[in-house]
Amino acid sequence: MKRKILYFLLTFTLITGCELLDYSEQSFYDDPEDIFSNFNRTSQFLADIYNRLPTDYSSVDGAMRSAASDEAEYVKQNTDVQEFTNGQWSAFNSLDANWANYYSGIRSVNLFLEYINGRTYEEYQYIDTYEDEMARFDKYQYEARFLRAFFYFELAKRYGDVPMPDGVIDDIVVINSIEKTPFDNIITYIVNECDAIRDSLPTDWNDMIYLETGRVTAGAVQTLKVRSLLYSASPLHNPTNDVTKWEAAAAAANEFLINTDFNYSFENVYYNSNDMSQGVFNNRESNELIFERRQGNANSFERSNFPMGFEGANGNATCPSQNLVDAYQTIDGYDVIIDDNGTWSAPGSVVFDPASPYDNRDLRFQQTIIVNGSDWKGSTVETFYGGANGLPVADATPTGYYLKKHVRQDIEISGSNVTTKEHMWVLFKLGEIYLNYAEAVNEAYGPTNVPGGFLMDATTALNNIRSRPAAGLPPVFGLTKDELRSVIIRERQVELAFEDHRFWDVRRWQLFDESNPDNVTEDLYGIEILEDNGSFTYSKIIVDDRLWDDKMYLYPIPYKETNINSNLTQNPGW
Amino acid sequence: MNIRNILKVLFVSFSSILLLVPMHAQPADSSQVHLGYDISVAADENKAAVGVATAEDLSKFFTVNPGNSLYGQIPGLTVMQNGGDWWTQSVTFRVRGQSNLSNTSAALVLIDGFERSLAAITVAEIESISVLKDASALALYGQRGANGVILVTTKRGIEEGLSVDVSYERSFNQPFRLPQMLDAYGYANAMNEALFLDGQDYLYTKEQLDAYKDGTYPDYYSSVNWFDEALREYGYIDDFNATFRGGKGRTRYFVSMNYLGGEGLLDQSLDMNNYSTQLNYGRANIRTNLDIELTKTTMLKFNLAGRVSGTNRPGKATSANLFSNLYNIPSNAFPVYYSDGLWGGSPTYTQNPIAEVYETGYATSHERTYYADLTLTQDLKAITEGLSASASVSFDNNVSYWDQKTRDFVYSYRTADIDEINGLTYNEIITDYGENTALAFNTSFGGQLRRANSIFKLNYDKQWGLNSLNATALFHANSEVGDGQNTTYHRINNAGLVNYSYNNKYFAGLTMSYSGNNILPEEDHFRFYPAVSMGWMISKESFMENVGAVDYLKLRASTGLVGLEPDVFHLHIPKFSGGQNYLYTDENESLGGLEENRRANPDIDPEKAFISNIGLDAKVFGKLRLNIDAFYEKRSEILVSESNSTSNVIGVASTQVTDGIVENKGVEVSALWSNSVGEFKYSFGAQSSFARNKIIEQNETFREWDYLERTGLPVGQIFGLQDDGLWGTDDGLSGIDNVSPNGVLYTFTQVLKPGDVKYVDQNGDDRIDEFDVIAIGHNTLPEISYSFTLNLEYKGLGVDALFQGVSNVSQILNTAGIFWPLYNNNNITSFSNDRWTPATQETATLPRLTPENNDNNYRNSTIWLRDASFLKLRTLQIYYQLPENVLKNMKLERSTVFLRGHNLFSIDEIQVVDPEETGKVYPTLRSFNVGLSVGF
Repeated sequence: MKRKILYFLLTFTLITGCELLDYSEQSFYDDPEDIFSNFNRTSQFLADIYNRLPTDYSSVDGAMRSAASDEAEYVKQNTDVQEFTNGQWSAFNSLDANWANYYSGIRSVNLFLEYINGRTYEEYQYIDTYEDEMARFDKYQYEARFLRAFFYFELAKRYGDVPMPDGVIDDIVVINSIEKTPFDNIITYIVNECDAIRDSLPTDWNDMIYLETGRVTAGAVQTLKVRSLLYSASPLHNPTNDVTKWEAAAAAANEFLINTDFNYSFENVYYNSNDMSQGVFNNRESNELIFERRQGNANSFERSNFPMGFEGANGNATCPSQNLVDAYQTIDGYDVIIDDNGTWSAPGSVVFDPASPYDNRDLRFQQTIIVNGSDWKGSTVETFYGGANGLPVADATPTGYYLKKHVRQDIEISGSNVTTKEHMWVLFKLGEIYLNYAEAVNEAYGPTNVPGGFLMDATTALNNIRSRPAAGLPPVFGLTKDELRSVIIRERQVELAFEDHRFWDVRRWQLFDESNPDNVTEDLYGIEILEDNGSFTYSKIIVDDRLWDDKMYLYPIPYKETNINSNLTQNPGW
Repeated sequence: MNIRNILKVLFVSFSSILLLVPMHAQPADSSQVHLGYDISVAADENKAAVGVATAEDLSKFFTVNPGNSLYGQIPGLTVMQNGGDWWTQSVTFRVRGQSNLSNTSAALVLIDGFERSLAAITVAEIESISVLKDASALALYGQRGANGVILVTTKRGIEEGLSVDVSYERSFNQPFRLPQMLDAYGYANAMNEALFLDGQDYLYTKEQLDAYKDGTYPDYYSSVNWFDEALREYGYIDDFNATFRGGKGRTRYFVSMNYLGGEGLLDQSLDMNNYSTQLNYGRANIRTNLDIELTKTTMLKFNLAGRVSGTNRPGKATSANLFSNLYNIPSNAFPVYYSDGLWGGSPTYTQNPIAEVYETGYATSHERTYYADLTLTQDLKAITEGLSASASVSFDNNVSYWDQKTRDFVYSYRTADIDEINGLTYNEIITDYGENTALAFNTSFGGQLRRANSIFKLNYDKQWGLNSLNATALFHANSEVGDGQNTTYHRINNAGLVNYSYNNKYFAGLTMSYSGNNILPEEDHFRFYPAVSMGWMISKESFMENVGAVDYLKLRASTGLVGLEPDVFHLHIPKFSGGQNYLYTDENESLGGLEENRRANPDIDPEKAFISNIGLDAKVFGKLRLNIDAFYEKRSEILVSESNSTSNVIGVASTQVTDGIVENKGVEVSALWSNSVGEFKYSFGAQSSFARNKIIEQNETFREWDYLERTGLPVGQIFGLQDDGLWGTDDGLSGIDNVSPNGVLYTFTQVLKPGDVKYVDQNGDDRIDEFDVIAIGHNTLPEISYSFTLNLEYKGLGVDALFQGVSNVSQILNTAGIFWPLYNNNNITSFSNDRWTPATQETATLPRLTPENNDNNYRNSTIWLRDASFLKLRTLQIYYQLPENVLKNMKLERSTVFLRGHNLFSIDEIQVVDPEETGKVYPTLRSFNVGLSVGF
């Protein structure tokens, strides 16, 4: 009897015990197979990877990264973006912390490719749309590979040499001892990937059954290749000035321009803050647009950047600098300067009026920057001291300017009718191709040579940007290679202002080197305007006494990473 | 699935019971030490560290929640009082401080062997409360034991006869401490001062200040003491209790009934509604504990306890938001009501607390709880002498819901200016808000919790010669189902215990558990926990025979392993969920995202506590009882984030890994001296416990400076900036930027001004920032807790007192409106009297006033750090036991009348509020009670 009971209890314990304890209320997928065996979930997984594409809408602790370059100053002090230039930046204090984010994107792509390989989703084969769905699915692998290449470029432009994990790695020991891949090898990898996938992707998704614009196009792939080769040829990564690197960049840009499948063309207007359909910014359907990072409806960027003093503005503004303003020529093509006495002049110009220093400039000027006297939401913006939008109003612009480009004037941020509207971040646009072409061809072949098979010379490519209706400047001609380089540098500053280029361009050109003839100042200037009975006096002031150290050409690898992995050598100087 | 399993457990329990053959009952014995699972050992043979409070100890306290009767009663058990509704009066239990990294390292509370809420029963039902502290006792609980176990044993019947006790007590209570809020004049002056120091214009003119002071225009310039308006002198509680304890023949029973009800502190003098909006509470508890000898060898034990309870409150104001309004609304915000009778209010302070009490309807909550368990014990001497078996099942259930009947009301905001010349008000602006509505009804579910247990146990006792052996083996299945996801726990514990003694002098024990749960992965549910213990009764050795002063001397030692189940589900499997969407097509259509959420940690493990204990029990001179315990615990396998040890190149969010290690050690001492001189009886007791922990490993993020490291310090160590006094007007501050005259950048402010806190730049980088914080003070959990008891009795007249205190404990006084004044429309109290002003800068200890959220001044720093030690008189009672001759005439067995008070005073540094509760909640209470108990 005793035994019976004991056996009974024992058996009971073993059987019920295990069943009882196997209870779970798990409500998530725990196996990638569960994700990728379903077409819809596979699409969702890819959507999440797309979402990791960057924007520079308030991307650094509320500021645009532009405020860490000489384009702008961020109103709020004690914020991350200020630490780029005040000496607080270090491996312990990593800014623009995207290291983990891009590696997450890369792992997602690796996982994605590992699991979608060879899927046929045969269970859907009798559904009417099966073939269409599979046509979509067939493109996914190429989209994912582009995104991975894009993330590697983002890492390499920040950190130089970075590790390239081979597929999905779960072994902590392997990950914690992974070695860096040299910058040039990363670029080679990106270029090879671009070559491999470009022709498998459509040039326009409107030609595809699902009309899924917003996905990666062949044009985007080619642009990534051009940009990668250009960076790799630039002085920072090409210390011996190996001309073949410039030739490769030039060839890639030429490949783009001569490709007859690409139907890109310039808009006639640079930006109209009241009508997004006119320019390329915030206009998904623009012919000038090659690839964008999409966003939904919002007004937070407007709340941040509407001139302080407008109701609803919260003063988290990225304010354009005098450094940038100085780069805009008069409409007849002459440089504008303001001297130490506050006197404006534009020697040679017949249209410039020192009393109205912001008029008769490059057409892009007043479409990029709100100046004292600009019209905004039916009011006149006053950035002069004591003005409605100027100091000493709390959080008013310290530079005398507010940002207009990207900011949608057709959004209401106050009153009873607050609205939100769509934004999108231009990642690649046609203008960059021409500028990259001009720069690479000039470096490789000089200002006026047209190498065999090439579309045009460097000067012509530049004039394509400069003299198009949206800019309205006279063409340049007869420049030497060095002169043209200086003009290209300024043209990029203007054409690509606030598009997250300048911060990187000054680094790849090493413009902080005093030996560089195009050397720029590290200090950030603004304009102080005093008003007296309707007339204004100006003085150029230092808004931010900035600090530069050559180690800042590359980001420091976060200390945590180098501490864990001794193979991750820190970048020089950090 | 779980219900099927429970039924299966039940079916098998009953079938096993039926298979058994019938035995005799084990009478409760006070000289026994309870170890749970109905296992107890004779006090002499006990080798474990167990602290006990008896019914008599507990009866010194009047409590709504029995947890409040444990202050200073058991060495090693720290009981911390929390504010909150008077009927909750919740406490936090910590056994031997803290040994893990989470702040919710609560002890396991068992009532009659099953996990239940101590707050759901009454003190009158409790026979004793034991706290298990060392490995030899805790190893029995496997994966649930590491944080300590509190065993509550309820009373049972007696062999023969009937004893009835009836008692009634009324308790009057009042806030232990309320801060002194400034009146309208004081508030307005303070606001002017704050604005002035920030370089802004005054808000209040001299005429307005005078109006506040003189009460000239009460509608526009009011001065309201919100606490006075909202609260009455005292709240009260009535407690009726009846217990029946008896037995006859084969049956013994204990029955108790309790009703407790009371009213809170809200003033209800405006008779506006035909319903109450007081903070009311009432409950009825009933318990039956039966022991029935079914046959000569079969014993049935049946316990059934139930409670219904309900609360009442104003419709839209929980006591939490009511009190937060009483604290927050400045005296001058608006009058309670205007001269025309309309309620006051303002756009800033929308909730007039008085109106919230009367005009928002009412809300009630209802809660039902029952605890039922049944145990059959069978003597199996038919098989082998000394063998017995038992089977238990229990079902517990708790559910609560809310009924809300709420309405809106009209209130008015009125302002007017004062004319400097003729003093009349002008520019009246009257704005009415809200509307009067009828009651709207709403019912909501509060929560539910079901638990079921089954336990099978075999016990074997054997004596031969001078040897004695006792062995127990048990199987325990437990199921717990809450509402919502991941609130269902299934657990199994296979445990055993062997005790051996030789000649009542030498003792050895072995405790084991092989326990598992549904939190750990499949195929890996179970872990093994062993512990060994030894005891030596020195006083029985022959060499002690001549030491007359020592009546009793025993040395105990134990060491072993105890576990604690992880508090997170599914960590061992990878997680794919969430993710961000993206937008495609010309319509910008959204497609939902899906991502790899985190990695799996296949090596998930329960926390592992390695606990060693050494103890001494002694009795000397026949009058002094002494217990000393010292312990060392090393807790490992504590879950910590993986992120600091894994390179982000891995590309997926980190999981938690079991890398944390905490060390905890301490001592507990208790002494009791009791004696009598003739009819005068007296006793003095003292106890103290000390526990200090240290983080050995927690995968801490890399710190650039050593002094920032938390590892090596106690868990929860307070960190903050070190102040260097306050900036003065002559210190040469520029007044326009945040750089100090010696070139230090104050990053937490834009402009540094006189009266701001001056900080020490720890790393000398000329910046005051978050890298300048250092360990300041102690933890918020006290390291030392102690108490003194005193009992004097002469001819039935007696006095009882219990003082309890804690020390090595700190607090940052950071409650907005009490300690941090004015900013974000907060109030100001007399605490701010020590603030900096240009005139008082020599003596000021607190920074200047400012209407802004000044991040430089209002942050953790030594300026706000206080020693939170206290010594409280927890209870003082005077009682009179009626003499026997009087009782005889009244046909009574016993009768006592008593007066007592709780939380009568506290000696501490914080002074403004209760050092145990610094938040803006229903205050902790002081109470004065009168009561009578009669037994026959």
